[in-house]
Amino acid sequence: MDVNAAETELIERCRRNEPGAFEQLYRDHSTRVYSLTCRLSGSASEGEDLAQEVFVQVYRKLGSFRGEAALGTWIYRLATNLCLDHLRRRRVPGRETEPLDEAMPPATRTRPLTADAMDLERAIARLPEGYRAAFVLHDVEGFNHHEIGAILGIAEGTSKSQVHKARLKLREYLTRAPRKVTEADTRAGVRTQRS
Amino acid sequence: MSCQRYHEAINGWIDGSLDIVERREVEDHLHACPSCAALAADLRRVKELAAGLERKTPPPALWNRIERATRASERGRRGPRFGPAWMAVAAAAIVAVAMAVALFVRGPEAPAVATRTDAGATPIEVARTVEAELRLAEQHYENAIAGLEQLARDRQLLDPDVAATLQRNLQVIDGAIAESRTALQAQPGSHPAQQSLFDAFRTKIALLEDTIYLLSEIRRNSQASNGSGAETNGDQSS
Repeated sequence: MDVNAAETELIERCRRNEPGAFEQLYRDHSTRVYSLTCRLSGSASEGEDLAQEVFVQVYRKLGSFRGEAALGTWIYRLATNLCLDHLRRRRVPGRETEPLDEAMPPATRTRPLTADAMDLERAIARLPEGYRAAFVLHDVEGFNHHEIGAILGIAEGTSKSQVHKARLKLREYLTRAPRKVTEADTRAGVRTQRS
Repeated sequence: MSCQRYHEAINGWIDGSLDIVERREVEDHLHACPSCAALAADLRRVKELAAGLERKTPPPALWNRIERATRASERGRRGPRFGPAWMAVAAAAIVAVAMAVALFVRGPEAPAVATRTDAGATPIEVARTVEAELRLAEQHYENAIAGLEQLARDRQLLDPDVAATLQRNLQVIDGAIAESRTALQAQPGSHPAQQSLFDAFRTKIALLEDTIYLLSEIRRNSQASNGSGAETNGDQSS
């Protein structure tokens, strides 16, 4: 059975409420959804709550899924939108993440980029929300710009541009001395997001 | 010529999305321009690091939470009419939750619960925020539990055996909450103790939610019996 046929059958089993069907759907997609919600929210505990909300929504809305996109794309679109809504709701005036720059020149590199994965995770949490979503979907999760366009409801070109600007921002965060990404930055980011 | 026009092309070059002519042009520029070559190296490193970030494994408890939430969602969709057979199932569910509670608190160091890891948090950050976070979270759980306890107070409607089991297990959970609090007072920064406390709160909430649901079903069933003959359509609401 090919992937599409297996997916269609699983969806039908879920719609018929067959025992174990929805759990199977959860097992197939939970790791990717959980990684996405954690990275977009910048917090493991919020990521867990958001992942729960995503699957509850999937459960409720599966009846209206028409198969126009792959099930995964549909689920990640739902997850991304829930995360972005959540980030917008918790935003406090004066504590927003950095604004989107329309014409952003590359920052001057004041030290070599010697970051590790942990540094990058912290830097991602500081990105403006739009850049963060496109970057995580493209560079971390491996979606192509066409898929990201469908998930975020933006043009492919916009997705390319946001990923480009996200990489420039990350380079700036990771190379600008002395204000490197440290606990102070992370705390500021976390506070902003938790507010 | 300004480097600016190459910046977006460098991203395309890193992603391998340029055609052969564009690729050649970018590569010629990178050979001639150390600044753009450094930019390209850095952006490539960012992309490589991102591709190497590990997927995060959901805690095992997440599926249980989702299952419970979808069950609640299903109840709402089905409408209010359930028979005595269903209530027996619900009563059995309370006992099953109670057994899970017993297992949870009997474990050697209560390890069966999920351990959240916040990959972005440093020890210093955790140390500085944990106390305030803990207070807030405790408050949140205590408020939720107080509200649920209020709703679940009419336990005389329950079968005496179920009510007794429920009472015993609420006491066990309260014991686990008190034990976790003591551990946290001794070691305020202890993540396992914090996790253990929150898991005990969540278990209590789950048990109270199931109790409330069972009580509401008993009431509905009783009302339906009193108004026998007055068949109502489950989809209609007053």
